[in-house]
Amino acid sequence: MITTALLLAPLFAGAAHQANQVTPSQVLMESITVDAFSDLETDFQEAYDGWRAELRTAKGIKAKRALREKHPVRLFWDRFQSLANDGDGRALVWMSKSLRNKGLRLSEIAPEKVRLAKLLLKDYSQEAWFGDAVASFIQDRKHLGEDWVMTTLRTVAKDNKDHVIQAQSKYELVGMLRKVEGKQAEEEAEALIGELLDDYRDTEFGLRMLAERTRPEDLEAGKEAPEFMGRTIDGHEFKLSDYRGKVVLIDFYGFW
Amino acid sequence: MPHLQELVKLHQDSPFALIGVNTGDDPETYRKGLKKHGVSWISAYQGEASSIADLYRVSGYPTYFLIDAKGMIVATGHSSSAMEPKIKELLADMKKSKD
Repeated sequence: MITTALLLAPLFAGAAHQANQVTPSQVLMESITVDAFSDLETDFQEAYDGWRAELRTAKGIKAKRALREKHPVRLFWDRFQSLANDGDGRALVWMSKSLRNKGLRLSEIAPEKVRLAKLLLKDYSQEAWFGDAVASFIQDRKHLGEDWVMTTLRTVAKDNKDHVIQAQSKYELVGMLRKVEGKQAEEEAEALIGELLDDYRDTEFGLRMLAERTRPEDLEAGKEAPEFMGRTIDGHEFKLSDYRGKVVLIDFYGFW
Repeated sequence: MPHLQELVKLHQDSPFALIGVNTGDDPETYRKGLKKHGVSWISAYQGEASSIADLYRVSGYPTYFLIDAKGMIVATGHSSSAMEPKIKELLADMKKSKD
């Protein structure tokens, strides 16, 4: 489930990026106003890469331990905190991800993650980047509690104005429901898959949803072959159902 | 592959279609492969993606799914020559029910 979610991440990220696409005049504006969060994140990433390289070459346990004490998260913490105070919720997502490296004890991490998640949900759920927050909730579901995450996903799936974030929430919710025993969870998952398929049937994402729904016993002799849409390298699209009325041999292959 | 070409040739006048679904080749290897192996039938190209193969829970290559005219799965397996008699049988049945 996690692997599939990770595979999907680029899809959501890509779509969110498209939604964020800016016009040339906005780029001009941007270069004047600058995005403080992106800049800070870039700076942090640079510092982090440098620190990692240092850690790799450090000799001896003592030197390594000393370096761990100087984790870039600690150096950057206040700057992200101040961005968060100024109302940029993306900094909260960063903070939530960085608690461990800040040096918090395991017992302190969960309550802090809960606090940050609630803040994100309350104040930032309609932001274009909220998909990142949703992804972090999924990752932190053990800390946040599966029930809280599922309730949150249901809310976002229903109320978010961004359809990509809606789809992401539904998709993740299906993954979590799959692990819940009982007919009610199964029915809720089926209903969500139905909604997603209605919207995304002919996309890569829709195929993945179908794959989620298909069980090994659905692929045995005597069962209907799952519908799919294929695309040739020249961009010609076709469906399995285009070949209804013919005997079809599907050959899954690679030249590698 | 040579066997698949024969298969397509053998059934070219029958209601039979071979559909390739490629997974894992980069575009260059793929285009070269199509030419080298004389792939004249339709072939879906997925690049790094594998969603169709995932949908069919393909775990080894090649894997074949034989599907009848109504869209029902008849047989699955990893050998095209094992599929051949079944294809003939299906086509013969279709012809019989038509006659």
